[in-house]
Amino acid sequence: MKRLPLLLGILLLFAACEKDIEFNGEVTNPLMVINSLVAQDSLFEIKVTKSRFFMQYEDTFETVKNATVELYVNGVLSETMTHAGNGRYTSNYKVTDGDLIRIVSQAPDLKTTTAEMRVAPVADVVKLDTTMVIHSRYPIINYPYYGESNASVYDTIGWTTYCTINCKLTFRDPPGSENFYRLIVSNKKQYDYYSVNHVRYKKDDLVFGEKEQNSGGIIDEGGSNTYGTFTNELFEGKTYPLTFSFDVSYTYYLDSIQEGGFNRSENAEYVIDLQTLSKSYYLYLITSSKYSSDDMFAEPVQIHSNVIGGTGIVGNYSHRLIPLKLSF
Amino acid sequence: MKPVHLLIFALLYSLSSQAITISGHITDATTGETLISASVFEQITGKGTVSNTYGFYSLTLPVTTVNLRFSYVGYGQKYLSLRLKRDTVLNIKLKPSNTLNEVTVLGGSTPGAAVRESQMSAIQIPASQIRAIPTLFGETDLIKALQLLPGVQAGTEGSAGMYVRGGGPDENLLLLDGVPVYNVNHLFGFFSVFNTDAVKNVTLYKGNFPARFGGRLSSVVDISMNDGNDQAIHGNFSIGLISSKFNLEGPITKGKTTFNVSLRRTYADLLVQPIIKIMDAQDGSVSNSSAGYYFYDFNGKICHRLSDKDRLYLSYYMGDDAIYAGFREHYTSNVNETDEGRMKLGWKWGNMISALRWNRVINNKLFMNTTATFTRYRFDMDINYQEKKTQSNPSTYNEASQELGYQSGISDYGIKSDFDYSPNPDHEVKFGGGYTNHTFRPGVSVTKLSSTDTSDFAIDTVIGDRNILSHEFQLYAEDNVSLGDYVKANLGVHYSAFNVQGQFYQSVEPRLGLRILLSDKLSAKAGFATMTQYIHLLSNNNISLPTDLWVPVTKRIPPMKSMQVSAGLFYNLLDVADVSVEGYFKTMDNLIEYKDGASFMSSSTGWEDKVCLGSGRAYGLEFLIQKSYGKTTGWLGYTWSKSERTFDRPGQMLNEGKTFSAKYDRRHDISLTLSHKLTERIDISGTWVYYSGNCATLALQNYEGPAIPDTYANFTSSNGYINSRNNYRFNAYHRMDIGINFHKKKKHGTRTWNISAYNAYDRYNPFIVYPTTVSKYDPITDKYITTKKLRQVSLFPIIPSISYSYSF
Repeated sequence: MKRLPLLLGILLLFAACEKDIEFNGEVTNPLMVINSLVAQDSLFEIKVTKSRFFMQYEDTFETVKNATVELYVNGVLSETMTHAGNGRYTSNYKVTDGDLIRIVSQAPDLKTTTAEMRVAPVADVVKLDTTMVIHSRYPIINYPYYGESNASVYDTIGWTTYCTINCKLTFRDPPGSENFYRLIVSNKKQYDYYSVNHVRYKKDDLVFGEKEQNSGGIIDEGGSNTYGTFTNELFEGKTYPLTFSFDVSYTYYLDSIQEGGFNRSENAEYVIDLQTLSKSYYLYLITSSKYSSDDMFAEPVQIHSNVIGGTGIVGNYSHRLIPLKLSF
Repeated sequence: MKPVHLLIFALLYSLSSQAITISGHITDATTGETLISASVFEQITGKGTVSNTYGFYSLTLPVTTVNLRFSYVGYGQKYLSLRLKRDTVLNIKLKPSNTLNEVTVLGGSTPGAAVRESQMSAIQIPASQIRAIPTLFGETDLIKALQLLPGVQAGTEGSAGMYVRGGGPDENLLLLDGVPVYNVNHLFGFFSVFNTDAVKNVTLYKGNFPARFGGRLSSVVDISMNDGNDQAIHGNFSIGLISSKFNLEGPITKGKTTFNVSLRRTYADLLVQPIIKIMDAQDGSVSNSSAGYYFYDFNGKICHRLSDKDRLYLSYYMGDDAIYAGFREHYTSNVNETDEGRMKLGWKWGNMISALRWNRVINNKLFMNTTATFTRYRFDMDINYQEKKTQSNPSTYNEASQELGYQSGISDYGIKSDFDYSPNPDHEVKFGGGYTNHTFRPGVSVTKLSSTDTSDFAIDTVIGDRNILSHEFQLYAEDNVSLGDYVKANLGVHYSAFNVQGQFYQSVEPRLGLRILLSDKLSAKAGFATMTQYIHLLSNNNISLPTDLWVPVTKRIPPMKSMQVSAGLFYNLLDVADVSVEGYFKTMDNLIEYKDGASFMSSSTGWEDKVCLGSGRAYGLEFLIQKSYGKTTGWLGYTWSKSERTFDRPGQMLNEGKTFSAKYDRRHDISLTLSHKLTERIDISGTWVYYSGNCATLALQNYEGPAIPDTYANFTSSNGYINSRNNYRFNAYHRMDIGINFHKKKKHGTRTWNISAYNAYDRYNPFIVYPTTVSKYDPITDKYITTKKLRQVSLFPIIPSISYSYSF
């Protein structure tokens, strides 16, 4: 297939010309940017920065250190937040289920901004059902050595099992409201500092709005759901069995061999995290994941913001962790 | 006077003034082609009419002595003074005028016709004028000729898209011999599917729609194909930069049956094959490579005169775009193993259209046209890869194949009957109805994986929606009524109904046109029309892609509707030029736009969840002056316009519910088109266009996005802040195209060399503008300095072209 791009390239009949031009539109003023994505039961905090005109280039964004940020909880002034350095403003308020949080932020030379959000409740998970479908099992053969006969000898040092875990996560959706969810599946083992060891799962359920079964086809069949988010639009106020699946390659080493410090049991321990999100956080995830489109002919996406007078996102989420230990 | 005397007088008067009806067909004396909108004018009464799409006219007059004038632009006028005793059939043949055969006509078919007609917002262009306009790669293009008219805008550079009075490209009803054409583009929108060799006449309606049309919001383009010469075999062929064309027409049975066939095909793909062969030869592991793109159009028409009153027409069109590629590759990785692969790729998309039409003159006042139609657009794509792997020691053989396919499309069967009835000089009635059966074929993907190795994964799936059937009905009636000598009105109503998946929609659309003759040379007109559209085009790109999908309305997505009022002044300047000024105001409702970030590419499934419903409004002023006679002809058009969209319904907001400019909202649009006949052997033509830059959406501020929990620790993003959709305008666009024709009479015909230049002064017009980051090494500071730049991509520099044609 390696010649395909080349052959298709020959089809390009037109040579485009490029040149740099002056920006002739309106030069807009910087905006105050408020960002806060805090988990339930954590202390509420925000980060305040300043946007810059898109024709300016700098490595970092300027933080706002002299802002006055008032925190209101359920309509009552809770406190004036404290600047803890580097544009980070902290409070003593612990984010609590159902509270209505409002912040008002003022800083010299910038417009006053306000943002409001309601804290999302923790998901009410009923149960998690799983089934395992084993596809294949292969011996791990390694460490050739030369015996007295000078012939290669191979040894089985363990086994690898390839299987799919089909999950059905049943949870109750609170009635009478729009609710927003995010599903994360992770392996307990942390491989490195920067990445959470997320497991790529198949978003089989209709609520994900993803036709992943077509991925790899000729045509993009509707885009992917980057963050595994969904809403309760299809099951509002009902108990819903969410289906998803993920592939596992489980490696079992014989007792006599320890592979690179791995504890073999960790391979089989997973965590299912059904998060509930505030609406603003959900909309931010949806729009920001679509912002950097590779399609230059597609309409650019406006990233959601609930910060009035400026931009940014003030949202929250809560975890509901369900451990899953697989037995082989 | 006693009452009985009064009664006798009245009876005698009515008998003496008994009306007679003159009817017949108006044709070209040399080719037998029917002439559309030819004028019939009775000079004593000042009454007149024009021939219909099939060249038929009917004029009822209250006198028996008539002085008739038959005229059509580019043809010599014919005068007849007759004393008639009964209804009479007069079939008129007009001879093309040698001195006027290069003229242009716009707005009407005869001098001052635009002033007298009640119809406004309609423009007629004969194919000869379209062929005279210089174009991209010398490829004459009907849609690009229409883009030069006020109120009609092109989309992106070089595109054959049409944006009429603030509407979208899917809101135009393009009829080829009365049959809708769904995909009007070749080569991703750079060329339209209409081969001008096969086209006789084009009429564009952009407002004040006659009641006989419906189904789209913004315009109707009524294209008539040539019937064929009924006297002798004639034809022409041309060889151009992009394509070659061939046209042949003539009688099958002289004076009774005619045919007309046209074929056009591009041949860039044939030219690149030798290059591919050379590449094959250089790369020993690859062979039998091929790749290319082409499009073709075939138009055919047979006309048969069954009797003086009956005619049959069979029209056919087929056109496709195709991309193909293929190769064989073979590797020998070591002495034991040989891999052989074979790839084949084929994309094909295009229309097929056919119409069987029966014209009947039921009587001299009543004309009937019944048409059975079929139209189909389909997109097929297939990629196939086969691999054979042979190993000799140990001996193994594995054969695997992958096949990925995709199909989508729409097909319609329809039947309609139209009637023209002229009861008296003051009424021209049209009525009729029709039925269309639509079959929408949403995207269907086929994936097949197979292998002789049983441990490999095997797939054989078909994913996609089933066909969606729908039924569309329409009825209409309109009367072009004269109210005294000065006032003429066109009153009409169009009824339509649409049934799909148990959902029934219907619409009653009133239409009104009014003309007040202020003097012989000046008239004021006004028009009102509502339109309903039951189908949507799903496409989230600004260019035309073959994967764009037509889908029907649903329970959740109601039909689009528009209402347009227009008014204008029409002036005939010294019988030399026609001048018009028109203003319009249009509202559009239930428009769809994609939600932020929604992707539709080729997938109809769940599309209702991904669109927002909103409204739009457009208003503007159009000015047109055209000179239709003499050696120098052409027109100057200017449009001032504004087009906005609002999506503020709960849960379906775009741009935070605030009104924003439509994608192709342009404040100013100027087009100048001129043709000049230097000598009998040389003529030149040129166009110049200028318009305000297109809108684009730019993130004018960048800001720090939050670190997303449970992704990457402490990583923030740089986000763009878009304060409003379409918040930036490209630089103004302007371009000049010029062309020159050298004609020479030869023994068996006339040859013409055409030399033209698109974008003659090499203006780099904006196609896309995007911000980018540039790093340059600064030797003084010994550092790289990074700056932001705004970069403009232009598509076409000056493009000269040459073509040769020969007509016989």
